[in-house]
This record gives sequence, C-alpha cells and structure tokens, in this order.
Amino acid sequence: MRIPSVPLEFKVLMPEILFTAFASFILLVGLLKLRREIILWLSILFSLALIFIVIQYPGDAFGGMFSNDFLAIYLKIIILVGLVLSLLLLSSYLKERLIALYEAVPVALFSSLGMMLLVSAREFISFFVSLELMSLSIYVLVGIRRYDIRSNEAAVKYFMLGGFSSALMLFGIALIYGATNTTEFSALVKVLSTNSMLTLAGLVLFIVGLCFKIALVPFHMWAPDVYEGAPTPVTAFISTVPKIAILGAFGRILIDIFDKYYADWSSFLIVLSVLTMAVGNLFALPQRNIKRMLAYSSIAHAGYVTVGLIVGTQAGYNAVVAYMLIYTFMNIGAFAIVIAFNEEDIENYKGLHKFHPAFSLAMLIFMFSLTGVPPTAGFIVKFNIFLQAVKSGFTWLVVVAVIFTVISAYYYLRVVMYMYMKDPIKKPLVIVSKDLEIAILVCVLGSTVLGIIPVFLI
Amino acid sequence: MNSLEFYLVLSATIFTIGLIGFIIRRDLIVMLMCLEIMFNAVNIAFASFSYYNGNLAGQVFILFSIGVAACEAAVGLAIVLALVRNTGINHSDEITFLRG
Repeated sequence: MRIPSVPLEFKVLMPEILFTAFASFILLVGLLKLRREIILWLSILFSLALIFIVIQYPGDAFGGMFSNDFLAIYLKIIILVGLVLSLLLLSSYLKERLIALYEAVPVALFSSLGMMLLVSAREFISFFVSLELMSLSIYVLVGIRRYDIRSNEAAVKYFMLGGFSSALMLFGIALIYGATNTTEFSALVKVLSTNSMLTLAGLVLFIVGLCFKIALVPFHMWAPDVYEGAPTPVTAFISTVPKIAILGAFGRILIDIFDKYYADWSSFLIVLSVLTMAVGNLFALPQRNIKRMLAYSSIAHAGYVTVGLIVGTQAGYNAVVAYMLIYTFMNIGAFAIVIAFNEEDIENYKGLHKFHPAFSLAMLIFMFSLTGVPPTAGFIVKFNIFLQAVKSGFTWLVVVAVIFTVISAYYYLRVVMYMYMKDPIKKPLVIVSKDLEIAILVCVLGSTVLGIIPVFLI
Repeated sequence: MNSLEFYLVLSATIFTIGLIGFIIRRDLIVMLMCLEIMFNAVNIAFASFSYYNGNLAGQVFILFSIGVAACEAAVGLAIVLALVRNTGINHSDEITFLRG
C-alpha cells in the first residue's frame, strides 16, 4: 500500500505543543511545594502570552486535519481569556478553603488545551479525543473538593451523564463514518449524500451529544445540581469556557459540513431551543440559591445561542461566537461577585450596596448585561443574534425569545433590587483579594466597553 | 461469513443493553460498567464498518476509543470512590445532598 506523503506542518501546532509542555511542567512543579502565588501567576502570564503566540501561527497542518484559521484563533483567544479569569477566581477561593492549588491549576490548563484542540480539529478522531480531554479534566475539576459531599455528588452526576452523552455521540460518529467511509471533514463534505438514513441517525445521536454538553432541555438535568455543588470558581469556568469550545466546534460542523441536512437538524434544534428558553427562564424564577439561579440562567442563555445556530449561515455563527465572548465576561463576573460576597442565599443580598458599593455596582452591570439592557454589551450581542434570525425568516422564534428575555428580567433584576432597595439583614463576610478585584474589573470593562465600542465583535 | 448487517445489529443490541442498564440500574459501579459496554459496542460498529468498507480509519479510531474509555473508567472510579469514602453511599438514587 502506497502511503501518500503529506506535509505535516508541525509549526501550526506550536501554541498547543507549548501549552502541553507548560501544563506538564506545572504538574511537576507542584511537587516542589513552591509558594502558590508563583504557580498561579506563572500560569496566568503564560496563558496571556499564549494569546499572542496563537496569533502568530495561522494555517493548516496534517493535510487539513488541523486548522488554525481566523475563527479558530478567535475562539482560542476567548477560551484563554476565560481561563485567565477563572484562574484568578480559583486562587482567592481555594486560599480560603485550603485546597492545593497545584492540583487544580494543571487540570484547568489541560481542560483548556482540550478546548483549543477541539476548535481546531477538522477530523473526527482528534475531535473526539480532544472533547474527552476537555470533559475528563472538567469532571475532576468539579470534584476537586474531595472531602465535601456536595462536590462529590456534583462530580458523580456530571461524570455519569457526561460519559453517557460521550457514548451516544461516539455511536453517532460511528454511523456517520459507516455511511461516508471517512473521518476527515474536508472529505466528508464531498461524499455526504443528501438522504441516507444511516447519516441521519448518526447526526441525531451526534446532536444529542452536543445538547448534553451545553445543557439544552431535555438534556439539562445535570446542570443545576452540578453548578450548585461544584466549587463556585469551577462553576464559573464550566458554565462559560467549555460552552464556547463546544458551540464553536459543533456549530462549524453543523453549518459547514452538514448543510445538506440543514432542514433536519435545524427543525430538531428549533424545538429544543424553544423548550430550553422556556424551562431555563421559568425554573429560574422561584430559585432561592443564587448559584442555582445562575445555572438556570445559563441554560436559558444556551437557548438564545442555539437560535444563532438555527439560522444556519456564517453570519449567524459569527453572532454566536460574539455572544459567547460577552457571555464569558458577564457570567464569570457574576460568579466572581458571588465568591466575593461569600453568600449563596439571594435573601442575604439585601442592602449590600451600603457595605460594598463597588461590588454592588459591578453586580448591577452584570445583571443588566445578562438581561440584555441597552448600554451593556449583553444587549449588542443578543440583538445581533436576533437580527440574524429575523433576516433568515425566523421572526416567530425571535418573538418567543424576546418574551422569555422579558421574563428573565424578573429574576436578574430581583438581585439588583434586593441589593439597592431593601434594608440589610446581616453584614456579609466579604472575601477581598487582589486577584478577585482584577477579575471583576476586567469583566466589568468587558461587558460595558465592548457594548459601547463593539470593535472586537466579529 | 456474516454480513455487515449482522455485526451492526450485534453492535446496536449490545449498545442498547448498556443503555438500558445505565438507565435502570442504580448501583454506581454497575452504571460505570454499562458505560464501558456502550463504548465497546461502538468499537464493534467501527470495526465492522472498517472491515466491510475497506478503510483503516475506523480501526485507528478504535485504538483511541479504547484509550479514552480507559481514562474514563479511571476518572469515574476515582470520583465514585471519593463519594463512597465520604458518605458510604453507592446508589445513584440515594445521593440527594443538592436540591434536585
């Protein structure tokens, strides 16, 4: 058998190779009992440096099986920004609870490595392996407080349903492989026939895998428990960064490769999107625990984002990616405030602006941004998604989405109302650290400045 | 010599056994075993497609899939072990520390 020679172009993978080496290095350095600040700031500085390294290496490698094009670079930058913000949150939280930082940081790094490979993968084997690298690291991260039964329970639930969805997705990939006889995306586009039952069955299982990972109703059962039980910085991480990678990767596969099956998968996603917006928003209304409320809110946001995928055009996909950028800032910001106030019950947020005007103002900005009120960035990106949907003739879907956005204002603004208009019940024991303040400042800038000057949004 | 359909039916049957076992059994270790059954059923599908279509990519995929399944078992056992050590519970319907 003649093996065709393919230019390997290892240099395109340079950011990932450096990242792997660095994450392994941090794993080893953890044994030396260095000061925790060294490990943390080393990781943060490296992740920031990696943003500039990623830009330097565009191109294709391994004969088109790995591509670092504009969208992949854009997604990788969002992933790295999200990673840096989450690391800042992790540091102040773990210091309070005496958890070894050298266990949590390498796992977070490896999970981001999986995400970076995932958005570049143009082939099903590397796609699946990087998805699993990402997921397995996240299961460990959720259970990182291993003497806390809530963290244990969250990890078990997440692992069981995550493994289940991986198995379903793998079966879907097997059926697609059987129908097309290739695993490369570039070859897949050419051989995909318009109506093969085998491909359609594979595609449905594949999309079910996607729905489990981004918690679309009815595959959302794990999300509220996992988000409540996981340590708060980990919740901030898993509710934003993996969703960027998964939506980025799956969106490209659905729009670029399975465009012949557009009618099938879009009708499937429309039903799930409407259900997700309904369940996410309505179940968030009665929640008393702020982490659980934000969990349902993130389910609802997955519903809005799916509207952008349903459009099925490049413009719709770009709107999704821009949404995920802003969503990262506002959601991580909201969780950062929860960590700072060290309080999970919404009742205890009453009157907090008297004690901490700066944090309360930041929370106000994040809540307005999550609702989608005009001067904030949350409005611009949500408007963009709805605009693309209207352009493609999904006006009724946008009307539904806007109605649920109005409903969502109730539970977001309730937090703001409690903080500004009620008398305080008790003085909070606030955790203030430099790391947390920097993270909140960056999130505030991200969700306000990008709303006024939307230059970085594609 | 059996046909491709035979192996696909075999694979789908084993996958369904794993899936039903995962849903109805409540013991966490048995649920982990059912996950492994599902992964291995997919491997049969890959192998048969690869053999009958004359394409090696499926067999390469199996090697990776076995590796991933092994990692998944390791992480899963560690997580279940942490839960069992703290609480002594290994039934999925008894873990209700979070409001759900």
